[in-house]
Order: sequence, then structure tokens, then C-alpha cells
Amino acid sequence: MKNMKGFVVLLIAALLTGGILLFAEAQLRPVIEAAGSGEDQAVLEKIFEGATFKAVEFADETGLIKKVYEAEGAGYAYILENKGFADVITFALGFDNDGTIAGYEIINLNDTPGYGSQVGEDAFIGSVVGKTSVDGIATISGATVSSSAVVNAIDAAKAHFNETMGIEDNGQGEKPAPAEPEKKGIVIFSDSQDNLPEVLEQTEEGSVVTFVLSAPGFHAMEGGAANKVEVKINKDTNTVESVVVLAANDTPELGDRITSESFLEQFKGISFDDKEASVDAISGATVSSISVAKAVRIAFETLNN
Amino acid sequence: MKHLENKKVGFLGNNPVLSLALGLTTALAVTGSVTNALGMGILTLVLVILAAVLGGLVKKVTPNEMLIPVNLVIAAFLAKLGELFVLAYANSMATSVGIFLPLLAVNSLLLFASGALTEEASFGESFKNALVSGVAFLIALLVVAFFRELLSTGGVTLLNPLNGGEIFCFSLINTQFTLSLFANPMGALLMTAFVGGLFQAFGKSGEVKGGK
Repeated sequence: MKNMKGFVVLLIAALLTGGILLFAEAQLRPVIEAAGSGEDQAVLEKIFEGATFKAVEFADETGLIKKVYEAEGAGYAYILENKGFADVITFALGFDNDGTIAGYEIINLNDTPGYGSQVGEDAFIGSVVGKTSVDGIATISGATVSSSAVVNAIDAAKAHFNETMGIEDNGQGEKPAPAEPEKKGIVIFSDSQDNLPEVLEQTEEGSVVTFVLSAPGFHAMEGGAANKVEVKINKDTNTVESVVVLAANDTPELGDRITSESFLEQFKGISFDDKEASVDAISGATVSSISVAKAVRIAFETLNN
Repeated sequence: MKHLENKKVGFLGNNPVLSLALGLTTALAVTGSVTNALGMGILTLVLVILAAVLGGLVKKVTPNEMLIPVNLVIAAFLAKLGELFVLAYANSMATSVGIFLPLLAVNSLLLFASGALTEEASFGESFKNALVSGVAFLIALLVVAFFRELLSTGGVTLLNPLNGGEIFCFSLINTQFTLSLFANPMGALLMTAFVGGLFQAFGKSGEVKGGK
């Protein structure tokens, strides 16, 4: 009988606490919802001024859509979130009723200043706002990770909006502007004075001079170690014999692709006299690619001055 | 049969977080800012006290072998209730601590069990133990959070968890010399260990008294 008593107590405890919780939940739910939308309110107001927002239930398998609001009479607003380079990027996006993007507001962005931070700057905002829900949006070269994160989240919102409004994306929409091609040429002999590599070692063997340089890439800008590049120049012909990346300290899988042979092969034979010489950057690793190009330039300049 | 000694908790020596490593996950996660630490610490304290009171009440009618499951139900109930209240009235804190709010269930249960959940303990004794562990938890969170926020941001800003208004703030260290290490989990672990060492050193006498 003693055991029975225990189970009865447990049962009563569970039923009682469960009941109180159900009651409390029912009472507090409106307060919680009001508090939850309160923080988005300020951002949403910037997109649809003066509208009333109502949270909408939604299904989204991408996981990028955090919240959907219907701005009554004006359109739909989305709170989107995706993993950027350093941190998650959170932003709000609004579509008006005819499918035009009415606003894009950053809520949280902690990516590298000058690179990833571009997704919060006017140039990018201008390339988003005014597009329609069937248009493509171009990523930013040099900020591929951050801008792809934003564009993917926007795509998720577009898909949801098109489905809700019954708009068919037949692929006829405007394609992403080809203004930022995947591969962009880097001019070796640029005038840039930022993040200049430093010569660590200089050795001569016959007509070949070998430089070892520390070239600040992406990681160095974030406060980490620079890339280490070895540049061999034939001083008789003043051309590059070979370029080898001794240590690639940039982002694994992205910036560290500067060690790839097809990239380094491009430098072979570049002459100091050819001021227009350029190489193709690795897409998604523009900053790291530039660090190697700068190392070659500094090696040439050290040799010739 | 030799019984295991039930170690008593204390503020300095045998601090539940710093020395017994109870509720460490939450402690690491919410000590990024003093505001969160204060809010979560107070919430835990209230929940632990409530758990002790409710636990004491049901103990009279609960057979000993059912004590643990019944108290578990109570702790889970209180944690859920606490979560609902925080979501409703301190939403900014709920957003910044995220998943660690529901995880309080584990914390409050552990803290509560660390002192109060013994068959022979009287109601007064359970209550006192729960109070001590709750306060000790709060103190530990505050001290760790204070140093983490100071070293990672250069100053301390205390906000009212209910409405986000500023209560006080000061800045001591130039932002050039701040260590962002202490804002991330690695720094949290280091700082917790460091403060734990300090507490243990100061609380030597307390440990001897409480341990046996």
C-alpha cells in the first residue's frame, strides 16, 4: 500500500503543477507575444511606417526565417538570420503587396569592418531595396561569405513571400547584376598602401633572388597571423620564377585556397616592366589573393629600388 | 554500510558553482554580462527557495522512495513557471540568455538537491541549505560576470532586467587594452576557474567546517 501512496502523490503533483502551468501559460501568452514583437517593432517601423504588425505562423525548412509579420495593408516583413563570417547576421526585410522589396534593415552584424560589413552599407542596401520578389541579388566580391549569407536568407524570404502571394517565380526576373564577376583581376602593381607585406628574408643564388614575405591577409586584419609567401625573382630578366605560399593563415576552406597551384601558377613569368599585369582572384578568397599579389609587388619593388 | 557524506555548500569554500561545479553550463553562458548574471542569479535564488518550500510541504505526505521524482516534478514546474515570467516581463534578458533560461530547471534542481533533498533533513535545515546554495550561486555568477565584463569590454554596465533601463555604468580600462578572450566560452572557463581558486583560498576555514 505504501507504494501506491507514493504514486498517488506523484500523480497529484504532476496533475496539479501541469494544471497551474497551463493556466499560467494561457494568462501570460498575450504578454509574452507583445514583449517578443516589441523589440522587432522599431525595426519594422522603419520599413513600413505607421503600419500595424501581426505575427504570422509560417513553415520554413531553410531555418533562415525567424519571424514573419504581416503589415496590415502594406505587405509582409521578415526577420531573417544566417551565419555570417564572424557572427550571425540578423536583418529585417519587407515586401510590399506587389512584391517589391520595400526595406532592408540590419539588426545584428559583426563581420569584418570594410569587408563583411559592406552588407550593411548603402551600396548593398541600394542593390536590394527596389528589387522584386523574383529578382536575383548579387553577392559582393571580397565579402562573399557575409553577402552570400544575406542573399540566401533573402532567397528564403522571397520563396515564402511568393508562395504566400501566389507569385510564380518563372526565372524571368532580373538576374543578379554581372557587375561583380566571380573572378576579378588583381593588378599586381597597384598603388595601394594598406596592409603592405614585409620582407622577412632575402637570399640570392645565381641570378635568382628569393624573398620570404609576411603578407597580411584576412586573418591578420582580424588581429591574427599573416600569410607567409616565398617569391623567387630572376633578377636578369626581372620576372617571377615562382611563388609559393609557405603558411596560409586565413580562413580554412576559403582564404587558405591561395596555396592552390592553379592560383600560384598565374604569377609565373610576370615581369616588372608589365605594369598592367594581373592575376585572377580566387572567388570567396579575394582578400587572401590580394595579399599574395602584394607580396609579389613588394618583392619586385625591394629588388628594383 | 558506509554512507556517503553529504557535503554542505557554502559561500566561499564549497561554492556550488565554483567548487562543486553545479550548474556550470548556465554559469558559463550567462556570466558574459553582469546584467544577465544578476537576473539569472536572482531567478535561480527565488526558484530554489520556492522549491525548498514546496518540497518541504509535500515531504510530509510523500514516502521517502518517491521524494526524488516528486521533487523533480516540482523543480521542473517552477523552472517552467519562471521561464514564462521572464519571457513575459524581462524579454530582453530572455533573448540574451536564450536556451539557458529553460536549462534553469537542471540548475535549480541541482542546487536544491545539493542541500535540501535528504531524507533526514528537517524543513528548517532544507530551507537554510537551499537559501545558502541559491545565494552562493548568485554571488559566484556576479563575481565571475563582473570580472569577465570588466576585462572584455573595459567597464561594467548594469541594466534593469525588467525594462532595459540603465542602473549604473562605469568604464575603467581603455578599449585598446580589453581582452575579447573573456567574452567567449574559453575565457568564461578560465575566469570561472580563477575565481573558483580565489574563493577556495579565502574559504579554507569554511571548507573544514562544512566538509565534515
